[in-house]
Amino acid sequence: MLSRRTFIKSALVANAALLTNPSQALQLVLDNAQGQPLLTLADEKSPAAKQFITHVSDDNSSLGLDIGVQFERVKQFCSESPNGLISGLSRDSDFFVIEQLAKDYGFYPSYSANHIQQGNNLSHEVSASQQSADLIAHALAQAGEQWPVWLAHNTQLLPQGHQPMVASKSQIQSTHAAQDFLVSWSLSAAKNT
Amino acid sequence: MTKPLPQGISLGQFNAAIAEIKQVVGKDYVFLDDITELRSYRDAYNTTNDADFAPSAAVAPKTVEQIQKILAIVNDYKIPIWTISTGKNFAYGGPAPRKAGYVVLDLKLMNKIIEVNEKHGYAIVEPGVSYYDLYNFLQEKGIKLWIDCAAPAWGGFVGNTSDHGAGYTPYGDHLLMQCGMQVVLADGTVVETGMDTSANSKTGALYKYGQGAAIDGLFTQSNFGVITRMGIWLMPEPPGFTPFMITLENERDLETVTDLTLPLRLNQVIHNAPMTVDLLWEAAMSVSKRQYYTGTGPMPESNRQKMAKDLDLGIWNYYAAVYGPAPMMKNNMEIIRDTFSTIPGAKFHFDKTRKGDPGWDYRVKLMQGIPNMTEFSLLNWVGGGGHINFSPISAADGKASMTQYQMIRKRAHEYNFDYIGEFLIGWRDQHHIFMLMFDRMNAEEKKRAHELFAVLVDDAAALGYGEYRTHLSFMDQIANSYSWNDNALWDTHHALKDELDPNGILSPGKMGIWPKHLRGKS
Repeated sequence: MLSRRTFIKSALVANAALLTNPSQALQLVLDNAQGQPLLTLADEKSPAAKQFITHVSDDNSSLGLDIGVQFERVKQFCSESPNGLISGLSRDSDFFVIEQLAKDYGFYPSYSANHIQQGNNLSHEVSASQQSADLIAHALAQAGEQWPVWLAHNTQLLPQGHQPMVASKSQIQSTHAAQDFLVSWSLSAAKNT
Repeated sequence: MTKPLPQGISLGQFNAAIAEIKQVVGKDYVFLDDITELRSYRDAYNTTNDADFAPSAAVAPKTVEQIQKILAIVNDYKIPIWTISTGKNFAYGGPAPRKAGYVVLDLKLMNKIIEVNEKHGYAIVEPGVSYYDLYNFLQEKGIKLWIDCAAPAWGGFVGNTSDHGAGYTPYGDHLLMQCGMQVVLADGTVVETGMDTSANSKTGALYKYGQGAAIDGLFTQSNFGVITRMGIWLMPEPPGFTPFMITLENERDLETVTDLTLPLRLNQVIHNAPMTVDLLWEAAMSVSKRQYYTGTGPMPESNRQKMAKDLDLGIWNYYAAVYGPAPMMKNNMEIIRDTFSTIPGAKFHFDKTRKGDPGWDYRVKLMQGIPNMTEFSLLNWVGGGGHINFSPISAADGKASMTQYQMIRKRAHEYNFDYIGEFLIGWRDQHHIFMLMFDRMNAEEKKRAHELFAVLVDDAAALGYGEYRTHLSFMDQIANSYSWNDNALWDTHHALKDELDPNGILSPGKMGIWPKHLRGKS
């Protein structure tokens, strides 16, 4: 029997190719994860973040310029869902604030990635566990311009352990030019790992 | 990863001390894991190495009695602690200690609002009470008092006041509006300052001084005791509030607007601390640099002009407000209009026409004590969000404004950074905040930012300007600039330190004040 980690490794790669249609095996993992409470936050101005959030069906919210309006919501989620997962695709500053807020409830980052578009050059700088960082960076690149959709579908498959993080980078040429800097991230409780 | 330890303390001694501290507060309130728990007690925006400010542990007591017991333990082992309230002042190091290995004393769980007195306009709070906490409390209870918060507003009253912070309502000088405090000294003695030290006193949060020396200021910046409670004056909700903004077209307008402001401030025509904010600071609320300039170095003037036009902003943007009954506000606004309309190109903006603009909206909230986090948007100006603040004080004087602005901008450009800054006019002084933004993932940029900051400290000192607080890395350098009469002030600080904290356990090195055994060794 495959370990969860090995299975997720293969699932991440498989889903990168399939994008919007998870394989049967992957659907099984997603179904198993359905019991996990999920709070997803995404920047309201960025087109990529909008694309991301429209593919998230769980509890989700758009982030405006004042991250402070989300404080009570995040605190409540952390208090009520100690086994939950908070994830997002946001401005760097919003991730920083949410991280600081969630740590008081024992939630810490298990994955983050900078998504930087400079003209047609789109790069993904992933920080995750040794086992996952390269795979995620590769999967994001394979997803091409649909990377926000890939992220939305794989949020619960991203690493949730709290191991030392390593960096991995991938890069592609996008067909459209833009200037953007977003961060995707997930936070989970250390006690659950 | 090697566990950071306090200087001169073995792992065995450290573990023994931690075991005793766990007995006091419970194991759930002692944080030791470097990867998870202690990550957020580091300085995310350091300009050197992450390890330079990595704590060995953090401990979160809930009561004064627990603090007394912790202090007894760290005195026994001579382990330094670093006191934080909410630890959110990230432009100056956040929750991180001055040196690697210190134990962070995190007062976040001491978060009781002990009293709110609507009639006399004050609150007494513990260190963990955030601006949001008290604001929400007042709103829920329908109490007609305003808070005065910092920006961004996730910090708290005790920490910000202790760090000499400022806000944006007429009660913006936080230490001036502090009245009475409870402090635990290094030896565990609990001291009440001011009136609360007399029996059955009911005036501890009403009258600041009492009999004997007024010593509250000694306990600011955490060198001589742990503040566990503080009285703060709160402004009664005024009958009216009129915020306004003036956009100014030319760089030199900074000098004029500062000189025109001073008499209006001294005579209380303008009630709060007016802010003169540069174009990039304002623009960064809603756009990022890359949307207007993808080259390296500071944004060229032509790009700045286009951005100003697109966003309807000035090269300088002046914010202030008047408060009170309608006839008084009308009268004051007429004086203000007459005064500033003399500046060619000055354009007034009010809620009716400006509402919805991100810069306007968050400043208006701040000027009426509504906490928000919008100013954190600044950190997206360049990717990677790093920043430290350079904060020199000057007279509220036009020439001084221009001197500081030109000096800092010239140096910033030499080091390939944008000038992003604002001036706040206090009672007679002026705070100048230069936000030095850098990509915290870029080692070369961090190094350059560090070098620039060090040069600015020396440049400012040569011109007679000192900073009122600073980032961990520069505390000693700035302390050395307070050197008049053969370092008499710092010798006094150190004499007090030796007397009140002989083992040097309380925040060693905070703002350049060191215990005897570490003095001169930093």
